[in-house]
Amino acid sequence: MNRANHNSGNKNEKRASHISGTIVCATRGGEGSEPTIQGAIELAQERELRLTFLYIADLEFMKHTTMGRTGRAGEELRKMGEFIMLTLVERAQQAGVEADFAVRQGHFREELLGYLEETHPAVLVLGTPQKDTGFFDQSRISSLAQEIEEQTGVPVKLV
Amino acid sequence: MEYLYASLLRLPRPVLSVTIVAIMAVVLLVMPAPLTAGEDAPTVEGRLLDPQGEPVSGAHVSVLDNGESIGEAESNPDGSFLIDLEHLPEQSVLVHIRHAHFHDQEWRSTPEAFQALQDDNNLYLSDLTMERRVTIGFWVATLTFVGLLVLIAMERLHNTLSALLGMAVIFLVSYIGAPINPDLFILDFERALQYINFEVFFLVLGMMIVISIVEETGIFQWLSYLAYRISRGRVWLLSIVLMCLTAVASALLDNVTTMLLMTPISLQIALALHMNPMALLLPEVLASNVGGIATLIGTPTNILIGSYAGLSFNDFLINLTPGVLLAQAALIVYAQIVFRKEYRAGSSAISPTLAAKLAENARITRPVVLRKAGVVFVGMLVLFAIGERFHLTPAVTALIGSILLLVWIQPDVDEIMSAVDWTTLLFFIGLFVCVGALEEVGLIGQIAVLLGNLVSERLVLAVALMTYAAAFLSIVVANIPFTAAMLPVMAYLTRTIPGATNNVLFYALSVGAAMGGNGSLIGASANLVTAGIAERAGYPIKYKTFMRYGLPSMVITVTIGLVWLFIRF
Repeated sequence: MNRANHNSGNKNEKRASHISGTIVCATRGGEGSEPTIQGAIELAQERELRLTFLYIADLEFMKHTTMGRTGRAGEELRKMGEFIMLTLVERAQQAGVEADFAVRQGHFREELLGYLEETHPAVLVLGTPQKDTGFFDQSRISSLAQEIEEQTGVPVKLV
Repeated sequence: MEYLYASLLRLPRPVLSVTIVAIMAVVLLVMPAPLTAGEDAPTVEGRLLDPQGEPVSGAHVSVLDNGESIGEAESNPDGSFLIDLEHLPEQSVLVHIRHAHFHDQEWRSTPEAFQALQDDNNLYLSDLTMERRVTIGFWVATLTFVGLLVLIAMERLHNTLSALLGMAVIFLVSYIGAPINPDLFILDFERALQYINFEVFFLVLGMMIVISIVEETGIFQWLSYLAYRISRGRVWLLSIVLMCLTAVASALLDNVTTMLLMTPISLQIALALHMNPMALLLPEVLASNVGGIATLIGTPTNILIGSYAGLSFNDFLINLTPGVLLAQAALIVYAQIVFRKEYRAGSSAISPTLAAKLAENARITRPVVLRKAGVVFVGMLVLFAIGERFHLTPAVTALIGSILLLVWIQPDVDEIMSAVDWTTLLFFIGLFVCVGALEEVGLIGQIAVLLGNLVSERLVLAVALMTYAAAFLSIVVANIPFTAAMLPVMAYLTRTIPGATNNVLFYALSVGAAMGGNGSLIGASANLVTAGIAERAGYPIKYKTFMRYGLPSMVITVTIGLVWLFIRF
C-alpha cells in the first residue's frame, strides 16, 4: 500500500472544521479495483467510519466516436454505475461497514474535486494501477492526489 | 456612289420609301443570317469519358475556327456537352478540350464530318476518351485522404474533424494554390457539392431521429433483462439470446446505438451472474457487426452501397440476409466454444436488492412512446420493402417516418435534435468531398484499373479478393471512408467483368467491410463504444484481447458470407 499525505498548510486547517466522518472510495469496480475496494473497507473498519463508494460516469471515451449520443450514454453509464456501486455497498455491509454510494456524471477530475468540496470526507481512497491502463495511469493518479489535497484539504490514500 | 445617292434623293417620297425597304430586304436576304443561341444555330455535341469509361464533367470544350473560338461549353455531370456555334466554320471543325486532371485534347473533323455539320446543322461526335495526367493536385488529394485514414485510425482527431480538415485542405489548395500553380487544382466548391450524396445524408438523419426516440423507451434494456430472466442462470442460453437480440437490433437500428444500450445492461447482468462481462460483451458486439449487414439500414456502409449502386431494401434482404443468418449461426457456435469455461462458471445467486436494482434499470421507461414508435417503425419497414413500387427511396421513407413520429409523440424537439448525431452527418459530408477529390484527380480510376488487371475477367477471383481485402483492410482503416472510396472501383469492375452486373461485387464489399470490423478493436465504432463502457466498469477490453477473439470470428463469418455469395450468384 502506498500512502500519500501531502501537507497543504493553511488550506487543510481551514477545511478541518468541515470534515465529515466518512471515507470516500472513488472506484469504477472491476477486478483491477479489487485492492482499492478491499483497502477502503479495511480502512473504514479500522477507523469505524462510514464508507461511500463514488462512481463517476466519464464519457471521455465517446469523443472519438459519437459525441452526439453523450446524453443517452451518460444516463446508461449512470445506471450501470449505480448497480456496480450497489454490489460494493452490499459487500461492505457484509464486512460490518456502514456504506452507501454516490454517482456523478462528467469529467472525472472535475467531478471528483466537486464532490469532495461538497462533502469534505475524512479520507479519499484512490486506486493505483499495477500497470498503465490508459485512463488511470500511475502518474496521473499521483498528480491528481496531490491536487486534491492542495485544493480540498482532503487526505488521499492511494492503494 | 455619289451619283446613286443623288438619284435616290431625287425620287418622289413614296417611291423613295419603297426603294429603301426593297434594298434593305435584299441586303437582309443576301447577307449571312446572324446566329443566336437557338434552334437555328449550328451545334456540336458529344460526350467525354475517362479511360475507365466514367463521364468527365467540368471540362471546358471550345470549337475553334482559324484559331478563334466560335462556341464553348462545360461538360455536364454525364460527360455530355452541347455547343451552339456563332457561325459555321469555314473549312473544318476543331474541338479543343481542357480539364485540370486530363491532358489537353484536340479533335479535328474529317471532311465527311464537316459536311455532316453543314448538311444537318449539327455534328455529333462519338464518345471522346480523355487521357489522365498526374498533377500535384493528385498527390495532395491522395495524401489528404491517407492522412484522414491515419488520423481516424490513430484517434488523433475526431472522425468528423478529420474529414472536415481533409475537405478544408482540398479547398484551400484548390482555391489558394491553383492561382499560383494550376496543377494544384483539385476541385471547386460547385463540383464538390455534386459528390455529396444527400440520399445517404437524409436516410441517416431520418433513422437517427427515429433511433433517438426509440432509445429513450428502454426497450432493449427490458428485452435484455427478459433474456436474463428466461435463461434462469444458464449463461450459454443467455449469451445466445443476447447475441440474437443484438443482431436483430443492429439490423434495424445501428450498431453503435445498439451497443450503447446493450453494453451497460449486459454488464450488470454479467456482474449479477458473477461472471466476467467480457464473455457476454464480446459475442454481442461481434453479433452486432455481423447483424448490421442484414439490411440496407443496418450499417452506414450498407447505406452508402445501397444508395450508390441503387440497391433496394429488398435487394439486401434477398441477397444478403440469408448469408448473414448463416454467419450469425456460426458466430453463436464460435462464442459457445471459446467462452465455454465462463459460461459454465456463471452463478445466478443475486441478492434481492441487486435483483430489484437490475429490474429497475431495465424497465420500459416510456411505454406510450414505445407503442407509437413501434407502429411507425413497422410502417417504415413496410414502406422500405414496398416503396420501390412507388419510386419511394429509403431516404424519403426515413424522413416521412421520422417526421410522422415527431408529430405524433410531440417530444421536446430541441432535445430530440440534440440527440441526433450531427457530427456523423458532417463526417459524411467531409468524407464525400474527400472521396470526390480522389475521383476527380483519377486515383480511384487507377485503383480500379489495377484491380481490373489483377483479376482479369475472373469474377470469382474478384469477389473473393474484394471480400477478404475489404475485411482485412477494415481492421486497420475505418470502413466507412474505405467503402466510400471503393464504390466507384466496384462500379468499374461491375461494368468490365463479365457476369458482374448482378452487383455481386457491391455485396462482397458490404460483407467484407462490415464483417471486417470484427477483426480489431478499432475496426468498428461499436467496438470502441463497447470497450469504452466496459472500461468504465473496470473491465477494459484490450486491443490484443479483442483481436484474439475477434479475428478468428471475422475469418469464419467472412468466409461464410463469401460462400453464400457464391451460392446466391
